Amino acid sequence: MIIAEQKPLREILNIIDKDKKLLVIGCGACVSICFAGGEKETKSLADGLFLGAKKEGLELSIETDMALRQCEWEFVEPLEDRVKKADAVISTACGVGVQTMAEKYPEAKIIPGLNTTSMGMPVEQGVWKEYCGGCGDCVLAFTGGLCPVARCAKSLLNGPCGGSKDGICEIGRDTECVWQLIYDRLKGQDRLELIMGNVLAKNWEPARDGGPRRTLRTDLLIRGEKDEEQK
Amino acid sequence: MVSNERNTKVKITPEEHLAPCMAACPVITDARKYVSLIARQKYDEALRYIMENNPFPASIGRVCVHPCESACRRGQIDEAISICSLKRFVDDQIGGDYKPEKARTTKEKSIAIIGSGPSGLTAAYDLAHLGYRVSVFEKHEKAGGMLRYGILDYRLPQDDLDKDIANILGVGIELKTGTEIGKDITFSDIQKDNDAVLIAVGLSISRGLPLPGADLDGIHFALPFLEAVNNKTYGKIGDDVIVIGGGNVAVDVARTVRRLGSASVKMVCLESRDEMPAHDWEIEDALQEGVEIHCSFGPHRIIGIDGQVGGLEFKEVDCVFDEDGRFNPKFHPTNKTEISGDAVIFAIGQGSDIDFLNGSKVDTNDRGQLDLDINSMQTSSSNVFASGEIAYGPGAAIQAIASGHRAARSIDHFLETGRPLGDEESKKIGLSEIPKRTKELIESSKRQVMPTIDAGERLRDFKEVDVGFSIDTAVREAQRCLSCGAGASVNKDKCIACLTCVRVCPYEVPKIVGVVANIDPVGCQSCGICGAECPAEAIEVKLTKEHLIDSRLVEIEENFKKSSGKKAIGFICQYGQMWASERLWQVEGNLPGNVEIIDALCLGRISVNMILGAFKAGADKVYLMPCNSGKCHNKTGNKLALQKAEFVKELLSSIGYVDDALQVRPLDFGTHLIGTAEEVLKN
Repeated sequence: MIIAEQKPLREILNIIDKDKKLLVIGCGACVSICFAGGEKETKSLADGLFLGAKKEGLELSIETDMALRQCEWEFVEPLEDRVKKADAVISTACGVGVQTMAEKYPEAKIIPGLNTTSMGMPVEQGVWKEYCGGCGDCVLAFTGGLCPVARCAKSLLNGPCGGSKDGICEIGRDTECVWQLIYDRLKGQDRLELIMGNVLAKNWEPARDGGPRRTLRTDLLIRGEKDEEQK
Repeated sequence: MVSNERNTKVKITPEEHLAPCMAACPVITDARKYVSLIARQKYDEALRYIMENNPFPASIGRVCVHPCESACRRGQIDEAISICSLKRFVDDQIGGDYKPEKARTTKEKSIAIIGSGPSGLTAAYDLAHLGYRVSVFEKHEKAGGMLRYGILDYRLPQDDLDKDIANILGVGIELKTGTEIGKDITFSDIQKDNDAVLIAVGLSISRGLPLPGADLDGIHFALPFLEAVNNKTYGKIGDDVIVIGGGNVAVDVARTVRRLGSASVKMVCLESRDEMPAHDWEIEDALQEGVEIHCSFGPHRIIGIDGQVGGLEFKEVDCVFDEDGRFNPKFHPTNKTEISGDAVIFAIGQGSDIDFLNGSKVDTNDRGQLDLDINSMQTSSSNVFASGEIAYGPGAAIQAIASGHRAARSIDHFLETGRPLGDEESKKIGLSEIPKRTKELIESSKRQVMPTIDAGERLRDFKEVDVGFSIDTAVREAQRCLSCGAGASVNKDKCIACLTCVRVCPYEVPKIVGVVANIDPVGCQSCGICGAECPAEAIEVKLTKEHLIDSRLVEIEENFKKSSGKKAIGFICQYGQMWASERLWQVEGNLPGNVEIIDALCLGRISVNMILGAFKAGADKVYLMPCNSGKCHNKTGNKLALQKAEFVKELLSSIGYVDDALQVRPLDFGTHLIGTAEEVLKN
């Protein structure tokens, strides 16, 4: 799932500037699960903004609403009336949701309420870790199911660097060296041969290096098949 | 003030999970609810829930047979909650004046009720609230029936019964005491003058046994004896008294005899100790007071000496009940014993006195009992109804009250529709046994025992034996309640199966079933933590909702608008405040004017949004008073509250709030609630 966290209230307050009527739109998907933009966090963000503005002598009128998934046209469509009435809309979705709102409502001032950080998982209540780098060419079959692209600070594919000490990455105590984990796991499985050979240079084109990615399933297309295929 | 809007017909929806105490109660009292209000020291509200289905809180709080306690699931962990004593405690706190609102007479029809016991007065109370004109006829000088004349002051002081009756009559019921039907006024006149008549005369005649010697001097009967003692027209009847019977009335008689100064009182009953129909706690009290109990003996002959009772000969009982469980005593052919005694009191059962119906169209069966439809409680004369013991046979006062409610509903139904009330049996299903794993996770806590006066001291007079709970004891006892059925429910449309509830529940109850969370009410301990944590706001916790925090904040906001100066709101853990040097109830009214307290049974149920809501309501300072770490009733409630405080502090500091805008003041031994409030305001 996509992990995000709320932007500092001060930053949002600076962005909203003189807007008085705000609409905060939450998302019921990933950001709900990571306690960043679900129904409860949307309300607490609204309350925080209200209190922050009040401290500066401003009386904001803030409403909140939810989209089941803010990254879908259909789910943001019912918000039209409320969006139109607001001076600014704060989206507490990931960056995808914010853009969905901005594209759906090109006239509206859409403000991100969150910083989207990664793709990962809640490893325990209150702790989320990045697990996937979205590189477009998955290597997990050869690394014991542990992703060096996302979980190695340098995205190294040929083993650890000299910054790995006692299984911890040099960037900080909270970060395990994923290459140590890969080694330990494959050793445990007696499959160390998987990482003993030379790894060819990774083709980073399916990742961001090839430009913004677009995924197509022609068998699913309903409208403008030809156009899509030609693109 | 007790509202007029009473629930005379308890509605239970099939999907509702009833607390077992509620399901076990004949009048379906929501004991769980009033107990949790006592746990929060909100006695007025507690009384409102007690009185929703029971107009005799002071009396029933003293004499109830409390089937609720037998059903209480706390008993599966350690011991049941002292529900009955807590009911009495509420009455003690309120002081007996419930300020009943006058019922409005909205109907032309009038109803006469014969008998002013618990059943008759309950029906009168309900019918008055339903808008009828109600007159109650009582042959004795005072109202109360068996509660008045069958129970002595040591269990139910007359003053307490008087309070209940005054409150009942206060709604606008006419009571005619000293009026015996068939003597002072005929039944046909009553029937003619009213649209319906309810016979609620109870079973007022004590039965005897046709034993040899039953005509000797020194033979007495339970009910006339108790009534005479109550009226102070009877004193000591002997030095060595034999009470025949093993039920609650027999125990009452024996204990009364002891108080009248008889040195020796022997109860003789057919049943073995385990089979005795009297309640264990009654028997225990009797034994403490020096009553001897001779079980498994059947009276054979009363021994006479010069025309006076000299003792009793009895036969040994082989068995009391037959294979089908029916009462069918079998005696040993030869084994007989004698005991000495100078008086015998029969306490073996009661019968009805309905001679006043002779010549009326109200039929009786061949055993002299009223011919009754069990659903409508209607007699053969369509506008004549019966309730209480006369209708159903001997039973507890709370059963008589339940019967009074039903009679009122039936009479109203009949007068409104012309048809008899049908079967309205609702399925009362209490929550089943607590799952094993959850049981392991619930802390054990000792039941608070009702303090009593010493057994020796008791016998000096008829002073009430039960002293009553102190506030501290009652609140601690109420806080043992597991709040069955007041827990979490998941809104399946909002649940995102995020697993938060599964992870945070200290009792390991929530599970993901299919694509949404399921929180089984059988295991849920109503701690409220999942509700406070759920990011999708998909969980509603009944007990948290009952805390009315949102409406309290609205109310506080209005109060704050009227005052100037610094303002503060404190969230206090009700469990933790038992450690403080003073209790919330003691400081109410003495807190600084601009400090408002919101209490909760565990601060684990307080969400970030509630804390922010306190600032929105106008507080300059907000403070949390969780219990001291390590003592949390719900294991992690205080930890989560402390973490939330840190989170909100950071958030507030980012928008210009001073560092101490949100403070944590854990409750510990000696914490001063007023002092803390003053400090919070000052800083």
